Amino acid sequence: MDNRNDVYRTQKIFRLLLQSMAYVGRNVRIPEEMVSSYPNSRISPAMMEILKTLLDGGMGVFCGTGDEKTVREIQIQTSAHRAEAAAADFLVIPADVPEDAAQWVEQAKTGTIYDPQRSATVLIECRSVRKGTAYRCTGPGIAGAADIAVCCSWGWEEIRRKKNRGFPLGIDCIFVDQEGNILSLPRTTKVEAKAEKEAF
Amino acid sequence: MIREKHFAFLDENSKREIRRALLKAVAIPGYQVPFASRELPIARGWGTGGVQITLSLVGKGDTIKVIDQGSDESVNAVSLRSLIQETTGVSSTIHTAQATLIQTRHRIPERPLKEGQILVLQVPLPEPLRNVEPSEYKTKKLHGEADYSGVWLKMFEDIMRYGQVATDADHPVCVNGRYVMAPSPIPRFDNPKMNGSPALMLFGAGREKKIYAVPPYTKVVSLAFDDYLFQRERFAGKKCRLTGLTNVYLDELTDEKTGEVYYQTNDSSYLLEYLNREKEGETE
Amino acid sequence: MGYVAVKGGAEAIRESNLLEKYQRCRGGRSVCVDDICGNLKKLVDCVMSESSLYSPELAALAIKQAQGDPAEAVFILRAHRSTLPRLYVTTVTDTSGMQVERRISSSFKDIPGGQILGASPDFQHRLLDYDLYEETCGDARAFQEQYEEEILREIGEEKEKQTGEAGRLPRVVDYLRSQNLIPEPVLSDEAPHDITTEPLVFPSTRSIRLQILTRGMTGAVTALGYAKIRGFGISHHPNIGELRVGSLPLRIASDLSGTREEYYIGEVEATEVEIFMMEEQQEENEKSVLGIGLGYGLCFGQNEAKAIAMSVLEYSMEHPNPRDPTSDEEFVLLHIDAVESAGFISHLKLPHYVTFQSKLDRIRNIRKENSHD
Repeated sequence: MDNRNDVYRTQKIFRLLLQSMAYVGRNVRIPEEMVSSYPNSRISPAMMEILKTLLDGGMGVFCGTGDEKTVREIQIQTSAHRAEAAAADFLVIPADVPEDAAQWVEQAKTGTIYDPQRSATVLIECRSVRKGTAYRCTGPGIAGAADIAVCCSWGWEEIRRKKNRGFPLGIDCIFVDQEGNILSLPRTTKVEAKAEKEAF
Repeated sequence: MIREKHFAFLDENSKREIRRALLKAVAIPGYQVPFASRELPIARGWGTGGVQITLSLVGKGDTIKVIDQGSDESVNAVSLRSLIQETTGVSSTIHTAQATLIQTRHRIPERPLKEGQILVLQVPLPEPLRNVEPSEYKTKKLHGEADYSGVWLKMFEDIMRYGQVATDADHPVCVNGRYVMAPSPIPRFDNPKMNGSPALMLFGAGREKKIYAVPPYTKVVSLAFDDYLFQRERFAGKKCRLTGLTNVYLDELTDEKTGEVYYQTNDSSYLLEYLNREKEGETE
Repeated sequence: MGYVAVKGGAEAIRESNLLEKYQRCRGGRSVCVDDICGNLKKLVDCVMSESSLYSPELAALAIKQAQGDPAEAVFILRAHRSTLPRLYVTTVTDTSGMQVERRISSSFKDIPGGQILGASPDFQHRLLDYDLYEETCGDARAFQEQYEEEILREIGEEKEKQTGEAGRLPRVVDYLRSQNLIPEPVLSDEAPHDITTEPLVFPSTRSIRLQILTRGMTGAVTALGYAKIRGFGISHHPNIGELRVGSLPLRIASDLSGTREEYYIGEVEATEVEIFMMEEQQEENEKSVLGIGLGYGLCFGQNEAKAIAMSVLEYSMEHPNPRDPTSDEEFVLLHIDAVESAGFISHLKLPHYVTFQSKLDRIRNIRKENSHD
């Protein structure tokens, strides 16, 4: 059961996630003091805090690290049960498995036209959500257009575009980098590569 | 026996479910996300949807404003505000500009909202198609198939019968070009405030168990035909007795002594701020 | 000095709350929660059933707080329920294990195990009993002691012989199954939906319907069940196959000790009804025959009318007929909940002057336009 401090922390982290999903492209960061360490987990501590905030016993989670220790830690911290990529409510894509990442996200569930909310939220670890390939974003949550930069190597942009082709069906993505910066891309955001990849 | 009240009343897993629903709602603007509405010490139909959203959002750093019919002092607003404060200790304000979270019934504040503010609207009946189709199962299908012919037909029939569309408050809107949404029983006067608002708007229907959202800077268009344009309530020739304002929603009141009918700015904190600004000689 | 907001809302609420309390205290009486528990058992059972919280003491407390308004008491208890942590889920409770206090069947004159009338108001003459004016706690205690001594000693010996397997009463429905008049049920291990933690969607599942029915207002469920059998529904008169009232033992399972073990945690009183409906069935050779379908009702406490009506409605929704409003699950399930219906009905008391102003504007506008034509 959550203790008092966890209660305040998850509230604050949720507000950051909501801000990130509502004001697409803005700088949002989970401050260090809100992040504990999880020595048994190969995913970043900030990512674990996000899982603790959103997941509970009713949720299915797919973790791309593949190692038992990390999965077990997620289960202990969230009570969520393990799920296949195609059935998971949340997918965790770690930074260091770029080749497999594509096929997992391709399988992620996109909901139905009657129940588009029965779709996956894809949590993506990456090197940076402040620097990297430049994109221009438009859509709800953005006044005019927003410029973002993401350093994440496995062709997420094209896969995301395919998954989100038939609105309201789609997936919602949250990028998390090493410093706890987060960038959310709800399915409504249109993302276009701006120019050649900037050197990182 | 556990007598201590949990922070923000709801248990953490209830909050998680609502929070997940909120994120999906923001990702699918205008779509009603089902959620398992919890029982609260406040009656169904009296704002439990809005309160559950507020209780899932609120933290110690927030400042809340709660209004009903535009007034902070309306008994229902007082009652809801005290529930929120009793279970969180969070501070409150009547000033729209100072609030981080605003829970409201039947009005959007006159003072334009800013980025970072969250407006939580209480919704009695979230289904804009309900008066053309009583079955929830069927209206869910209609939304899925973007079949809104029923609501257009109803508007057409009104025009045939009355010469104009006969909606009063809760005039349906189209969000982000896809979902038709019930904006809650705000007057038509307030509908345009939703279009491209810098604030995030969240809608909670506790009894009907639905949550929906309009993200900031999103297109929200009141349904209307090209030749019968959307009409707001008109206060032609009327003004606020205390401030002379004509561009705000007005309450119709009767002077107890003289029997004279007069009008007054409905948004009570806006009225107060305007009067105090004038007094101090500040300009707008 | 600036303008300040006109206050008064909080004070109005405070005074209203005080008046409510004054109404309760005005006679200089404060009913004891134990008295409610002891003497108003049927009301307590009703409130527990509609709150889906089994605690006679808390239900009695809620009834006291609500000044006897059952819907208000249910509201209080449900709100309390939603603050309680869910520690465990019991194992599946087989109602065949019920310790039966009352058990009847309208379908057969005699049944294995016998018709046990038990405690029931059914055969009392409803004549106002003025003697109850004088009855004191002393009288009640004296009766209790005398009854326990004389009667229970008499049946005590017989009851001892009936413990264990011999004490379990066979089900009437099993007899009909053995005659192939009722098909064997298709067992389903599908996990039930919990309507208090999952969103309600249509079409619903059987577990959802049963939960909503058992939590439904006694009056509403009874009225709709009545409508069903009276005319807005089936043409055949149902038969109660079996009505049982008794205690159900509850167990939880845990593997903390290394192996999975079950622990008895207590018992709840419940009313269970199986109702027989004549229906068309298909034989294996696809010929139509008449057979018997089952409707099921189950409630906390002794809630017979509700359990019977529930079984009728349950059958009705399992076999929907488009012409029949009581088999329309949305119509039934969405409107029988005490907290939701009373809540929305009473919300009409809230200020609606902004929306009303909007209506007036529209009405005046239309009339003005029309007068110009």
